[in-house]
Amino acid sequence: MDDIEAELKIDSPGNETTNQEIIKNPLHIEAPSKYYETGFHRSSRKCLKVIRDAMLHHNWQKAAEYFTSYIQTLEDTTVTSAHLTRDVIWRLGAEILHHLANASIDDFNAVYEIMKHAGVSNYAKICLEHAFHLLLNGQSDEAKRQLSSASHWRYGKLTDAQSLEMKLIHAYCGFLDYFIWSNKISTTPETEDVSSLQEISMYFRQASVTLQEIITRPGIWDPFVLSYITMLEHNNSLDEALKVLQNYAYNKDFPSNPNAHVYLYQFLKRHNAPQSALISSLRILHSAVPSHKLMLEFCSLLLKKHQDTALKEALCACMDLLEFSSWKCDRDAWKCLLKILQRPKNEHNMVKEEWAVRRSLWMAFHFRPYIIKTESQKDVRLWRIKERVLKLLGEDLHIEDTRKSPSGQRDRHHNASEDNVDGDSRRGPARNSNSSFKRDESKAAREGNAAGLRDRLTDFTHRKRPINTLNSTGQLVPVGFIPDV
Amino acid sequence: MDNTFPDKLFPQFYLDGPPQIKPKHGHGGWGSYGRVFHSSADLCDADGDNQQSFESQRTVKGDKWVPVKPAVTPLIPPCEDAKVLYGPLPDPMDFPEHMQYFNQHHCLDAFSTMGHLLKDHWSFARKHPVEVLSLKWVNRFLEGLNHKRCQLSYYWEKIRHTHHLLGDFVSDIPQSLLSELLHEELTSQREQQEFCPDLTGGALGYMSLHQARGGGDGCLIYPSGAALDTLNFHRVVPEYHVDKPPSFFMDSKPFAFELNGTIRQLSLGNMEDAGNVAVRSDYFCSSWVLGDSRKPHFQEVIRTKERFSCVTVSPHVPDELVVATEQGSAYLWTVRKGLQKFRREDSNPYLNPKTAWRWCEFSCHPRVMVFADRMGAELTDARNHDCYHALFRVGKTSGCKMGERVILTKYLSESHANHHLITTQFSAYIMDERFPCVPMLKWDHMMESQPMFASVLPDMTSNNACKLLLGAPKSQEVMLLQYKGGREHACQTRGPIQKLFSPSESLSHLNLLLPHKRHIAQKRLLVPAAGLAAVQNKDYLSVFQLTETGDLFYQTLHKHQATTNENLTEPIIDNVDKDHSPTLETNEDAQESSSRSRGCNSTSSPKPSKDHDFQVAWNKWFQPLFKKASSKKQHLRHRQIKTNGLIDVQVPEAYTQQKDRLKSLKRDLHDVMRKKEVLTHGVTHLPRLNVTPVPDPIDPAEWPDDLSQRLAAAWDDNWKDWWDDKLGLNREEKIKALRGKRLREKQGRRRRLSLSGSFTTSVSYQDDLYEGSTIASQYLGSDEEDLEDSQGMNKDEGTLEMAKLKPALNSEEEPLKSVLRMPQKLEQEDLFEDSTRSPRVTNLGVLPLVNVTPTKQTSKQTTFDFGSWFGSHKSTQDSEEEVGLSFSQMSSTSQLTLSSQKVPKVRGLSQSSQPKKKSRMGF
Repeated sequence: MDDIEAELKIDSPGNETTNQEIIKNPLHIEAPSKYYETGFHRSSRKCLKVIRDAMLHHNWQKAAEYFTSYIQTLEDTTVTSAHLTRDVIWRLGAEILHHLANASIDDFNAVYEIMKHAGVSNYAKICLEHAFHLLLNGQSDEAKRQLSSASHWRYGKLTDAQSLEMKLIHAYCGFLDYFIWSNKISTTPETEDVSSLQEISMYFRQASVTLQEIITRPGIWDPFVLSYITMLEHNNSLDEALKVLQNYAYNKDFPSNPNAHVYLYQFLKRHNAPQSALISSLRILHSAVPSHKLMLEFCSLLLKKHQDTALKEALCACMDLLEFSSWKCDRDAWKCLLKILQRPKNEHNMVKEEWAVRRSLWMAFHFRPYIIKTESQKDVRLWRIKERVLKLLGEDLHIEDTRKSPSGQRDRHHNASEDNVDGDSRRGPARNSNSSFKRDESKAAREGNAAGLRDRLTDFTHRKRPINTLNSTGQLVPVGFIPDV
Repeated sequence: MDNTFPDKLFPQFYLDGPPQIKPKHGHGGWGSYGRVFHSSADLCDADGDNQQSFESQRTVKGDKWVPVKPAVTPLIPPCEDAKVLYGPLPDPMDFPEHMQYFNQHHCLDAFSTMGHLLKDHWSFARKHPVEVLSLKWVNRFLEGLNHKRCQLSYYWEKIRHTHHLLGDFVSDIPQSLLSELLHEELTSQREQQEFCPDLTGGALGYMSLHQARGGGDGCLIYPSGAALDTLNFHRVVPEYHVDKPPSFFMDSKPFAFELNGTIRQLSLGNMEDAGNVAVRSDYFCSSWVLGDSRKPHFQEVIRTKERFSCVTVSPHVPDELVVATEQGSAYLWTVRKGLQKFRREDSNPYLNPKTAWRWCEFSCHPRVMVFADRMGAELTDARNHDCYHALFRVGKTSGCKMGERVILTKYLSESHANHHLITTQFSAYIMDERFPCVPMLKWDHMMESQPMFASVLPDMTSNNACKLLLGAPKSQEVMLLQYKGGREHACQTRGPIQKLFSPSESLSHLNLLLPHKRHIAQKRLLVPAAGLAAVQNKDYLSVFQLTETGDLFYQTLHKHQATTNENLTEPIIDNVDKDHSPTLETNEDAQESSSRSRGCNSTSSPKPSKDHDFQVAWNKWFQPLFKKASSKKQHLRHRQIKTNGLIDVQVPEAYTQQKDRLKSLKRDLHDVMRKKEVLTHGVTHLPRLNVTPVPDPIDPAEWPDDLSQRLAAAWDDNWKDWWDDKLGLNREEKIKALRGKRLREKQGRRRRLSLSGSFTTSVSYQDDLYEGSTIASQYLGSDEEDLEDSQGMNKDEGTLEMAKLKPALNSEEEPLKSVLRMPQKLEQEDLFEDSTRSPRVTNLGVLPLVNVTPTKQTSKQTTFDFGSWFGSHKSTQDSEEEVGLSFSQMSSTSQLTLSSQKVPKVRGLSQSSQPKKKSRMGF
């Protein structure tokens, strides 16, 4: 909270108008007319606008034509924000090149190389992008060379300003080292050749040092962590690997990455950790992401424990899982719930308590008529499981069917009155027919004599409809009833 | 399978803290790859010989969506009595003008009360009772008000007193109060026009009536009427043909319901047997039901004293909605069961300035809601009031910029059960609720105003991309964003952002209108957008747009495939931009534009083009608007006097002829300018110009006297040399030079062998020069020092380039006579060179910085040498070694083009030196 306030002190000194101002101006495309604009600046601004429009409409050929002229702004020394211009130029240039059929790898290299050195304020970023471009085009050796040369780049304060990018450059450098290492490991047989072993260990050292460094910083480092763990496992330093994974999953500075928990769990499972350790790691994942795929495994692990508490936990976890719409039609999850409910040791009370809490939601969410209808037609196997679950939960579907959710009532009700209404609506424009929305008491009284409407409104006057008002506590207070017209 | 989470995500830093990045420029969405990782699933299994393949967060190529028509098409006839606000934003400091207008033109409203009171005491009658003030006095008083004079004189004191007494009461509303209120109102109006959060979400919806069958008929739900207070349910049947763009057939009349306030937002639920539609106006929210086989009907309405800021229909359970009010309360509203408050925030938790905007959305769990304000969005459990955690927060989500604010959040239930869209004024984020605070995907949407409407189109098949449409009200922009993944794979964007057409752009694609009609049309089309909806059918994507005047437009895009019928891709040719593009125009276009220039009233005459239907649709749409405007005019009818019979002057025939000629000249000029050609005299039909012959050149040899020689020398800047020659001051130098020359000639004879060997290279030299790839050309353009340097550098190689340059140098040193004799001839040679020998160089002159390679070049597409883009920059030389080939190309071409005038000149010199060289070889 206080950090935000720190920010707000910078950008909005505490009144609404400034805040509105900030929202108002998303982009500064048009130059402000405060300062005197030279002809060159004006034409280059207009040129940029044309390029921008062409690019937004995917008119790359036209954009390229104008872009050849726009690069003249690189020579402009009077612009106060020259580094912005350079950033814009490399972005536009790279994007246009991506979409021109005759662009070669040399052209890309030229753009990246030149823009890298043209005002070094974006050096690290462009280096990184250049390396990515090479990687994506299968030139990983060249990319490695680029990255390692960029990692030694020093330019005083400008290097410090780009420290994040520099760290990423180091990290990707190590990442590529790791690939070289893993390639060498898999290709070279178990030789006793000292030089090759030395080379392998060199790559190992380089990769592990850089990867270790980057994954201690808060962030999402899934590919890096995976490769670092592979290396550690290869080196048989399992304790170190566990420590790294635990830090990645449980460190408070890191975002709560579900994958971190998954990696830890998989690591534990791979190395035959005791069941309790597996369960506890999954329990933490459950608290963070109750809809995770591993929750099914969590349930089955809990079921193996043969304890009442574990069974209850499994029931909760499984029912939680099924409440998420992504799991709604998952047969495995329903099977799991069925299995839990079928447990002989199953205490009836426990299930009843859970069901009582969730019943209203579940009836509308899983067992409303439309879903029953479609599922019994399309996915019969799922529906059979669901039917059995419902039986075990002590609900009778047929009874439920008759006093089901309001939507069911509504459906039947409307089907009955369908014929009345349909004909009317065709006869005249429905403009005045359903004006009940706008009617409060006085209006309703005024229009009370509109007896001609009576026939048309049969659909809506079966019951009196309240217009409700929210009072200050948020409860619904009926303010009046619309009389039958 | 929405329940799987990507097994690995793209690496990124997590920066928890106030955002430090300042918003820089609006082009951040291009050129970057984001991050990359290797795509193979398991490293250990990867075959050692194979290179690792990598994937980037932003992929370059995506599905290509091509608009079928050149602009949007109107869908329903316009609402005739809609109010159009047009013109500059109201300035709060204009309030005196508004007050003046009020006082002048609504004086009864402004002063009537006091006037009635004073009526009995002021009289304009000549004979008046004693107690009533006379006209004279009043007149003087009014005069005194008009002129500032001595404040101390007797009368003026009286006036001042009266003024003090009455100043506050004369006008019905005290002036200070009125001006204050007026200022406030103008300020708020301005704010509303600049950014109006009421419209968030958009008041347009399209609901497919058959959930199972994708291509069936649907229902378009939109507000209409002058105040947008009529809710319309309009059945639409889209028809898709293989060879034709799809069209929409609409029922003759919609189901219309008049509501009690302006419709601000519509929210649609899923279509099962029936689908819910929620409508929000300022103080009411209502729920409606829509079904395939029954007419739409109303369910329930709720009303508050606070304004509603959001209503959303649940995608999970029918008849469930959430509403949020501007006071910060959020309710779960179950129709016919009542409301349940699940959240109340009196203040903005993370924001000092209070903003009233609140928003609610559902999430993957039917009882967990997203509660958003300007600083972020939180997942709130409706069953447990205190249980919430941040889904997105400006301070916590890394990559946010300073001053970034949430504009809209939307639950993307159709595309992924766990995904949420969050838009800010700079970016659009895809958030996964399983991994809060870290965006799965982020775009810089590059829109000019804030995106307040969003529409999502899920991927129909698993290998297609999801499509997101973002719409902004003020600028009417609609952006198409494509992405993929989020299940087994991490999310990736597909291709760059595409901008779709907006209604305001469409005028330029239509026939020209008369200025006043154009103005009406422009005014109407520039109105801010109010909603956005989209529907997809296989390879077609139709986008509906609603404006604040209740006008509905649509455009259709077609997925471009390699095998697509050419007919469908044709209409993308942009009519507006033809003036700028160098593509050759067809005859048809030329005719069309000439017809445009001839008569302005071409709206009535159908345009002979393939977009005939398009033009007709627009004409039909404009008709009621123009009709209304013209009917309005009739109130101000003026007297017309026909002058045809009055002025009876015979127009001479010559005059009419000239007029015709001028007309044709105008037309020709127009054509020529459009084609970017030169206007030749033959075309113009103008009287021939008298060509004054150039006087014969003066041969200085014919004037041997001293004065003439000296003058000739002075013209060539050799005045001093002439005197030196005359006085014999430079004799020693001359002798020296002569000796040196002979010495060189001797050496030349010795080197004859090598010279003839290098002559063969001289043939290729010329070609190289044209191709722009030799280093020599670089030196050619530069000044003399460079030339000498190049000589020094090339000395060892002994190529002919140097040998050819040398005579050129020598010729400068030679006495002026030879030069003076030659000038005409040299110039002619140059001209000859330019026109015949170097056609490519002239090409370069036309298209600067473009290296045209004629073998590959197609008629329409120009190819580019991208190395040459940056050729003029200084750092080329520094990094020349690293880049190698491309750089050398680059520098040479750029020099060529930058000094395109110099090149032929120098070449001309070298050409002129060739006969000399021959004679030397004959030595």
